[in-house]
Amino acid sequence: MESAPVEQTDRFDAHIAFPNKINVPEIDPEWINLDVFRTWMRTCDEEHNCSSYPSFGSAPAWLIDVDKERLISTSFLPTSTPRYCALSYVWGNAKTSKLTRATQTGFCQPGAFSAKNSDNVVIPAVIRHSMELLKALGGQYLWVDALCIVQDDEIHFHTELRNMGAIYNNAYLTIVAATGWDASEGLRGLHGISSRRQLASNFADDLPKYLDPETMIWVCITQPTSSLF
Amino acid sequence: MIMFCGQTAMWRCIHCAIDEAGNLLKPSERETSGGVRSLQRINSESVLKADHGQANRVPDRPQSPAQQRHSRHGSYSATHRACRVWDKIHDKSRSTVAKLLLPNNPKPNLANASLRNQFVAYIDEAVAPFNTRNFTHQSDVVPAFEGIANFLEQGSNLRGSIYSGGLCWGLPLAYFPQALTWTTKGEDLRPRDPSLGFPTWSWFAWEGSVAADKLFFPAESPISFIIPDSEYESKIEWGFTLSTWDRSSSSDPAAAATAAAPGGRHCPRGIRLVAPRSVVRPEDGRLYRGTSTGWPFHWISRDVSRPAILLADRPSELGVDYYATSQVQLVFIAKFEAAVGFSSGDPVLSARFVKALWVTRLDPSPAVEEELPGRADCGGGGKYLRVRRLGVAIVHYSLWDRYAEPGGQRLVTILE
Repeated sequence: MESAPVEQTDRFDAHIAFPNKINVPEIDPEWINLDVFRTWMRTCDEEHNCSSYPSFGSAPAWLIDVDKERLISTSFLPTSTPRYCALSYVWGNAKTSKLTRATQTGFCQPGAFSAKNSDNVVIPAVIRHSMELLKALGGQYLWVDALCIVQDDEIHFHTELRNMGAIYNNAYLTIVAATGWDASEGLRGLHGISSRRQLASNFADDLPKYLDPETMIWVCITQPTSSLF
Repeated sequence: MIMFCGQTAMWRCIHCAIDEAGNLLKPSERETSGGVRSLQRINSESVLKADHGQANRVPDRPQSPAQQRHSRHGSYSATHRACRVWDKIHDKSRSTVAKLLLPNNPKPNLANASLRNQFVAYIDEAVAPFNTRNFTHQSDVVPAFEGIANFLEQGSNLRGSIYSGGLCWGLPLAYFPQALTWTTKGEDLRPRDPSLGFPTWSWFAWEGSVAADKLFFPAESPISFIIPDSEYESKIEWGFTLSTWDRSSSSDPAAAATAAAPGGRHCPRGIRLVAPRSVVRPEDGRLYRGTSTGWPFHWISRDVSRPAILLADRPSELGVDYYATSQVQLVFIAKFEAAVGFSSGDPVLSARFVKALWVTRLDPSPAVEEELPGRADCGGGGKYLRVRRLGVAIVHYSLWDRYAEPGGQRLVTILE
């Protein structure tokens, strides 16, 4: 199988990207080290100018509060849109509760999305893991299309649809579940959150198959937007 | 962004890509092959602004099957929503399409010159100028065409109008089987972002010059379409004739097209046949070499920019190796309910092929797949995938990348 060659390089804006090479201990074959995530995020915040690019479009209408495990409307937040993280994943055939006019009130109750409420509200693994991961990383708000767009409110639905490019663009962070046939597979290797991963003994061998930066870009940003001409 | 890629995670932002070990990654500079340009990938203003300068520039290149699989999944959720909206606009019920495709049902006069001329005019005047426009956001193609479609469908009440059944993804249902054989004028056809979910048999999925210069339709025997859960079961009519209509060669538009000799297997004029190397028999799931007699063939065009029609009753009768040049479009219609074997040994490619069979929006029933172990006598140790998806799938192939096999055989990477 052909694979994209990837190589270590310092041509890729390395001096801006990560001025101090991250010293990473041996990669755990079963669990991802969340400190690596934190380092990535902190370095990007401090060293890059990624966040200086302007926002466009509108704020998402709804967000998930991962601390209170409920849905909130951004129109009721005291400040302008808070920092939120967006999730990109495959719906597939996974059973999942969705935000509708009928479920809206219930979703806004504290604890609606908690695991204890799973009889009433079905949260597929990838969303559950993302919520937990965000909590572990210190974030508070998560945007997930199935739970943050009222599916049967035509006008709102189309507005959010057209705004999706902006929603992803304006997110502080995007979590992308790049593999998995549907939403029930989840994000592997998060200790205390999800199941073990199975990293090949030679980590470098994994790289060409999974870690292609071009694909990564392409994966997350094919969102419809509103411009028509 | 943090990407979860199966067993590992990586970071990607405007400035860099980095893996868990702290290795920086850069895009591959592998050249595209086959003259097909890569997909439009970047759709976010902020990333566009960041990609200044060559160091950060994302070069155009095609994706390997693994990459396509991963990238398709990642963007699927957002675009899936959009596609469902578009389904409301252009989706037709299966029964409507089934009626048009079932050979036993009254079908439009396929050689009808009036319908043909209307279709040619539709492509020339409505679709071709539209499809070469440069869309900032490719997802806007469908809403933008909607205005045109609405206008055209207003004429649908006219007697004998090609729009009388409406349009399904830009193809008139009243002329659907032939409309599928639309082609391109030049070599400039590029796929639009496949994650947008446009069916590849529709010109929506392609950017570039769309033309109806050559159309194919059966003159005598019916094309075998299988509609699941209908009583219709047909055997493949390998002796069917295909007629061609070539705008450039017929001086009289109403003239009948050239028909091949009846009986036996025959080649529409201008198309050379290539027999597949091997097929899988459903009885025992083994891979057999194709021969010139006694086994169904699949007609593949080796001529550049000539479409071919590949029809199969059962996917077990599919040849597993397809030979194609970069400009060939294969329109492939099949029912899949049997094992499809691959001799490449590449399970991802196999999965891609299977996935590619499930692109039509005509039938949303879920796919059930299971993998059978590869067999030693497959000449390559291929993996078998059993597809129990019942549906009408119409897949438009274009050579996206080539994978050389020992002996110089090549497999086509299926673009969904």
